[in-house]
Amino acid sequence: MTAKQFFKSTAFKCIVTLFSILLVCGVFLTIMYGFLEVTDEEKFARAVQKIYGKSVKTEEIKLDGLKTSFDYSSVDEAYKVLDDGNYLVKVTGKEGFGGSVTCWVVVIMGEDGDSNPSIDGIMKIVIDSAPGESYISKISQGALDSLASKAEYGKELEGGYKHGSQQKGDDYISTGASYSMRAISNCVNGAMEFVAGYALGIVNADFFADNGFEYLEMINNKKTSYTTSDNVVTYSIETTGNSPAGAFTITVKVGEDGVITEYTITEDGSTATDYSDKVFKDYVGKNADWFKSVIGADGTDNSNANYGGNGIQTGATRSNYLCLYAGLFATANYQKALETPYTGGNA
Amino acid sequence: MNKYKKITLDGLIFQNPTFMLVLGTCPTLGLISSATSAAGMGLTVVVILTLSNIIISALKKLIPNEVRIPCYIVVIATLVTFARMLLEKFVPDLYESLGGFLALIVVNCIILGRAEAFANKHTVLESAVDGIANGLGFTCALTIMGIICEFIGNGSVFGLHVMDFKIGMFATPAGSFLVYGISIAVFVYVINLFERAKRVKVNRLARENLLDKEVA
Repeated sequence: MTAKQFFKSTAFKCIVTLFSILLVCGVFLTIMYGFLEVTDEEKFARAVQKIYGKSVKTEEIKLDGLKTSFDYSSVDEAYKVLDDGNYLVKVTGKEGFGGSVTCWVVVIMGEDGDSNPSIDGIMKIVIDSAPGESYISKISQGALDSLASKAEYGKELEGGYKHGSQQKGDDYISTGASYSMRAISNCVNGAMEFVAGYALGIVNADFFADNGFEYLEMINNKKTSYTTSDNVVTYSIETTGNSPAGAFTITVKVGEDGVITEYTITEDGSTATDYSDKVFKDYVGKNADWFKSVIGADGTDNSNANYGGNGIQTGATRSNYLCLYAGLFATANYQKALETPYTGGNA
Repeated sequence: MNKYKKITLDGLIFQNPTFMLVLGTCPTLGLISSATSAAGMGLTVVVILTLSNIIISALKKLIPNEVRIPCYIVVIATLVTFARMLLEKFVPDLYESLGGFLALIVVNCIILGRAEAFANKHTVLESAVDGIANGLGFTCALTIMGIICEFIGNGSVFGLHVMDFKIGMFATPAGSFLVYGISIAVFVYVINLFERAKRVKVNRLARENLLDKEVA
């Protein structure tokens, strides 16, 4: 085909038409975006209006140098409300329905104000944005108000599913959007943790990570602690979920040479008795090397490839992985735990 | 019959996109648990469908047949994006309540279906009427089912509390599916009754005419 034929062909006409329409539409949308963009100031004013029903005086908190990133959330903006002394925090909660949810959360401060600051709970939660959360519209303001009433400082709020699982959390509220509620609960937890760090000066979120403990991925660091006595470390471990298996709570005693002397599952996260029966429980005498031989040196082998040769029955792979990971965490960090007194605040 | 009247009645009743053609099922099942969301989605579709029909009808002679579908999609996507901007700016509550379903209007088969089946074969005015009629047909269907689902599922109508008794399942997509199915059955039954009555009337008139001719 010659150039002349090409320019007269239907293909050329198609390309020109399509690109012309694209260009016109693109220019139109660009111009319209200039007029219709919702600025951050507008979004903030809307959130304040929703929460207070009027505009209030606020003072922005500079986030530079503050701890704003937590396990399941991160703080985007924070304000002190001058009218009532509370804190208005914009937080993004992870673990939603394939996405994340950004909320405005009002943290209520105690009556003593700045002289003796304390956190009294949550006044209001307002959703700011929820990209990718198809069922976010199922969460009514009533459900958010109910979630806010369940929030207490020092307690991890679980208004949707538990972390990493499909099991209902302790503060579960039925909405039809349990994953999104989990992300919103994470927002509330993050907001309280941020205010605790900023206003109360309490920062204990990452005791294990800050002190160089290993194998933390499947360990809930807010519900795990340990004590030491005569070269014996007694761990109280809560794992994360490993969907569909929920979190396990396990007491592990590790004695001389990093060998387990006692291993008791106090809360079984298996979804059914069938799976509970298949959870391997004979961990006494095992050390870190044994755990690494089953779930890999880095603890990330979430398969059951090495179960058979180590006497572990397959059929409850997810639950067994959590129990193995807890054992690996306990044994591999034995020396570290002996050297580092626990000051994480979960004991 | 006046052609505009026929287009309007087809869009609203006889070819109702929700009940008769079973199009746009995704937003229907996703949003009819709340009458407000359902009505909001319906009205948004009315605007987008009407504008897309007008634009596509106006451009039908310029768009080559080979690339008509991509061109329609670009036009529809632009209108949906524009509608999203408008709603986010001026009606943020409705924007939030529609969630991801607002963006999904781009692939709503009613809009692409009307563009392909009607707008690219008819005049701009006829296409506009068709867009409004089909959009309103969709809106009415969604709103009626939204009222039923919200009333039974939440004991409220358009957010106003009506009664304490409620069956939670009707506030979920499963309940919406049930209400949708029953609504289709009832609608089709009523239309069949109407058409049968119309046929009987036409036959009777024809017989009377025949008898009159024989007597004459």
